[in-house]
Amino acid sequence: MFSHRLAGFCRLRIVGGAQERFINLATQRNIEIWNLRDLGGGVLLADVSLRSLKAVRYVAKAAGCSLEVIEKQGLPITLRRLRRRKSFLSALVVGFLLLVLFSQSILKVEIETEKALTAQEKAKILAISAAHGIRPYALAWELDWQAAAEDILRRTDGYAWVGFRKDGVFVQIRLVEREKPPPENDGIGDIVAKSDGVVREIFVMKGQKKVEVGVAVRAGDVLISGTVTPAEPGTGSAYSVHPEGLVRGSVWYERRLPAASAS
Amino acid sequence: MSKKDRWNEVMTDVLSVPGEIVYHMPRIVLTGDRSLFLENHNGILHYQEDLIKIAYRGGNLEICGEGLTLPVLKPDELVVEGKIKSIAFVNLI
Repeated sequence: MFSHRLAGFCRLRIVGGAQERFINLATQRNIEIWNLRDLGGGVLLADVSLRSLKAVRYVAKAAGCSLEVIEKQGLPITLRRLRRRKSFLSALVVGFLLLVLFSQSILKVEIETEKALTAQEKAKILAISAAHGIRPYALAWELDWQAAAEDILRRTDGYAWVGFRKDGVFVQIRLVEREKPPPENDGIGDIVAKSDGVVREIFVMKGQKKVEVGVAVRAGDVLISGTVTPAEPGTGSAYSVHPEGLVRGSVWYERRLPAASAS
Repeated sequence: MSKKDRWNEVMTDVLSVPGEIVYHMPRIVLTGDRSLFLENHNGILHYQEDLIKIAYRGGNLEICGEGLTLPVLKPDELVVEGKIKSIAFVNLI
């Protein structure tokens, strides 16, 4: 209800005359008076809206009071005074524009991963991002995040997912390593039994079967050999493969327990 | 009871129209002895730091005190602030 300060007001000194008549006349003309104070000796202080100043002068005259404008305050006054300080205003505007500009740019690009990255890998990812416009001091409007992510995936090895996240002026690149399948073992060798047992089932995918079903084997015996010798002697030379197959057998375990003494 | 009085009575009791509108009385809201808000006045008859006389329809209101000022003076409402010592109704009907 109370702020007359925003709309702008002038502070007046009302001296002499019929003071109550002045107040009532003003009130009747819809002029609002604020902060009316009695300074004694027939002097009143009051605030009146800037717009009604003209009417107030008329009322004062009618009531035989002399007016003195002490002060003018308020938003319209401030604006008028600012008009004389153009450089201040322009500095304000430029500052604001700069703020908006910076808030729309990127200031830092960070990479976040689960495993640590080498400097080389980091540089590569940053370079690819930069090629798509994602670098410090770039404007953040029409950047193709999707294309940059795809490009990184395409040009690097070992990532399952690449994500760009913009958080204000920071950009965070998240990388999720791909779990590499175990390296293929291409070594030449043989499949041997790990423990003693009786072969129940043998299925060879690559290599040569060395035992039959029902045969008892000891730990270390060759089950499937990596060296394939031809069936008929003379129909080709022996060759080596990485043996692959399935051998199942029955094994047994022994345990010694102390027996209860029967005495 | 005259027709007008009867009409006024109906307005306030039955239709719940506020009293100050029907009877043209001022509404006074007093906050302690520091602030007095008055609605529906008819002008200031006297203003001095220790005595303010406000007119309303049917009489005057005399406010005695110290350091009395009017922070708000609008055509229909006003506020008196300061140390209020007494408020007196002077009916002139």
